[in-house]
Amino acid sequence: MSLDFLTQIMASVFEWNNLIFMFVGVLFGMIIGALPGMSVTLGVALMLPFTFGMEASAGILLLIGVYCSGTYGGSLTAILLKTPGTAASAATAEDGFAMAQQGRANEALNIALYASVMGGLISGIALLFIAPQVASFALKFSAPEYFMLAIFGLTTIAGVSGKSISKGLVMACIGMLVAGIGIDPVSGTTRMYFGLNDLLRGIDIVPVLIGLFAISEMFNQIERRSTQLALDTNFKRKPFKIRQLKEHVKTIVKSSFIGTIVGAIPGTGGGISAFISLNEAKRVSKKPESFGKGNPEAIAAAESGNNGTTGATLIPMLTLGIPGDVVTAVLLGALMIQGLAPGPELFTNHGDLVYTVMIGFIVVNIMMFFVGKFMVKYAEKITLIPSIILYPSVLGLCLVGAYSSNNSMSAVVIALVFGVIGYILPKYGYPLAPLLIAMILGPLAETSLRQSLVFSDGSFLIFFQRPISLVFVVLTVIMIGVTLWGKRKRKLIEE
Amino acid sequence: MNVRLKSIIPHFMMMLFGVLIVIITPFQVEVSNSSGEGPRYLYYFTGGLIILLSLNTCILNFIKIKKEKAENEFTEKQQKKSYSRVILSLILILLWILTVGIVGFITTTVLFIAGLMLILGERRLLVIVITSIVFSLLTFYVFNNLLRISLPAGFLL
Repeated sequence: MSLDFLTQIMASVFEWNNLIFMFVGVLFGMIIGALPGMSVTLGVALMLPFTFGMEASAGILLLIGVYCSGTYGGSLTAILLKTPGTAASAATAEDGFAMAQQGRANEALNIALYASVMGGLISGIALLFIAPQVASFALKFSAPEYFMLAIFGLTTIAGVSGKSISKGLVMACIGMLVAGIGIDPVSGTTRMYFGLNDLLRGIDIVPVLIGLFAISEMFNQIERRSTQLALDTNFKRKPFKIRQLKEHVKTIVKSSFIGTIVGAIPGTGGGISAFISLNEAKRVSKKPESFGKGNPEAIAAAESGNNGTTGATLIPMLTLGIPGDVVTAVLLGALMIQGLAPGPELFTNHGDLVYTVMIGFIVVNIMMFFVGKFMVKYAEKITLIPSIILYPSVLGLCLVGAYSSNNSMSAVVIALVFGVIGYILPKYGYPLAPLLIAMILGPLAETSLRQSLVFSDGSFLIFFQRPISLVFVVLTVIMIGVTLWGKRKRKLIEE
Repeated sequence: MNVRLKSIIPHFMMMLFGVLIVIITPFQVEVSNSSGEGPRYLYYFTGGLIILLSLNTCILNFIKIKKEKAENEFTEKQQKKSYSRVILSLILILLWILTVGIVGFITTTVLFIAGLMLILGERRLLVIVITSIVFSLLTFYVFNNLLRISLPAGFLL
């Protein structure tokens, strides 16, 4: 890259209209990400028509702004209301909300913001400097590798199951059962739809999220007759100091790398990365029992893990023309609308645009920091709103959000059913996070297992014969061993 | 009821759920000649695992739990009192689901928010009216006009 070329790119990125569109995208994305029922995909899709008449760079940067800040935005409501706006923020909800109840909402929101920005920046740097290398690694993934990646991700269940791994596994089984409803992805036959057309298309994760976390929490608050969300009513808002972040830097960097690697693999996403990062942070923590009860380390890990995927998911899209997830599929559509064909030739034919997008991605994350700082300043006040006004509003928003996820009342019914499940089962020690993790990873695990067994004529040796798959086998065994040993050690200490 | 028995009921119910899954799988999961039993494996595996794990939990609970009858009775009374608000809220949500498509989003939501505030103990009419109307109109405007997501319409607003 010559100096002239770099100067040209920087001039393009910092043109006024590009900066304005990036800002609009960041602001819009943050609000959309925070609203329950609104996905980042919806936000990007809503903005897509506006890009038709724009220059290619402005349009793509607008959509990237929505994408990055939408991924972060889910943490705002996850922390303040235990209502994750996106699946990727579900990992933040438990510890974030606990901190909000302890009157530490400001600290939680700031840590989420810094972690998200750093995760995005690290994946942006990976996008800029090592995109082709990461893309070629991601291309090596086939069904056996996907299966072992999913199994590795599922080992996080042991970490989030609390005291009883049995109950965590039961919830994971339920998650897999629910995820399997609809059409079997391999054979195309129907499963467990009971003749209801609404179930034929499967159960969407968004209403499940809303029900499991938000509606159930509102029921819990109503049961407890709490007068406001923040239990510590005498807290004084302590300004967040950047040195509070110092102890979390190692976790943030590690989780960002996890997010970058996971994000580069097509078909994964922020949700998987967030839970893997969270589990890893808990594994190495000196106080793993504090996770789930308001440990800022959990937020740092989950948020940097989930935003760490944002730049990485653009790698297979830009370099190979392979969309990593639904959002990048919409971004791919946006590029094609502009007359650009993603793939190896994009770098040679439109190198200036590609590098404008890559550097613009980094600028978007920096912009997200300032917009996020503004939002955080006022958002934490939500915890002080009287319950009489807040709980009906949140419940109303949950119902509307669930409806909006696919414009159907069946989604509201699903949200309510899972709200009841999320309210009742934890009372008997059944944790909710494993259900969500299994819903995200279960379909990937099942489909890739069946595909792998077709390739290998039914032999399980295929998972040990392929190098990347074998690495994940070893990592999985280590992870299970370490988690079980850690639990045993803690149990002995307690006794 | 014996405390030990009470502690295993939820896990026994979970075990029955697993049994139900295994029983209904052949009727609810189609297979084709090409797919073989493949689509059913997930349900047999997870159903079987739920049965085994729940049975394990039942046995462990039965062995471990000690009698805490007096404390449990006190806790039970307290819980019954709080559950009523939750049940009423649940009924209100069900009524919203059933009527929103018939009556219209704004009207139903105003009544829903107002009803919920009454359940939570608010008695100031002005606060109830303002909150329910402002919330419903604001939500309608944001979703319907700004986000272009059509909300249910009915014979009223």
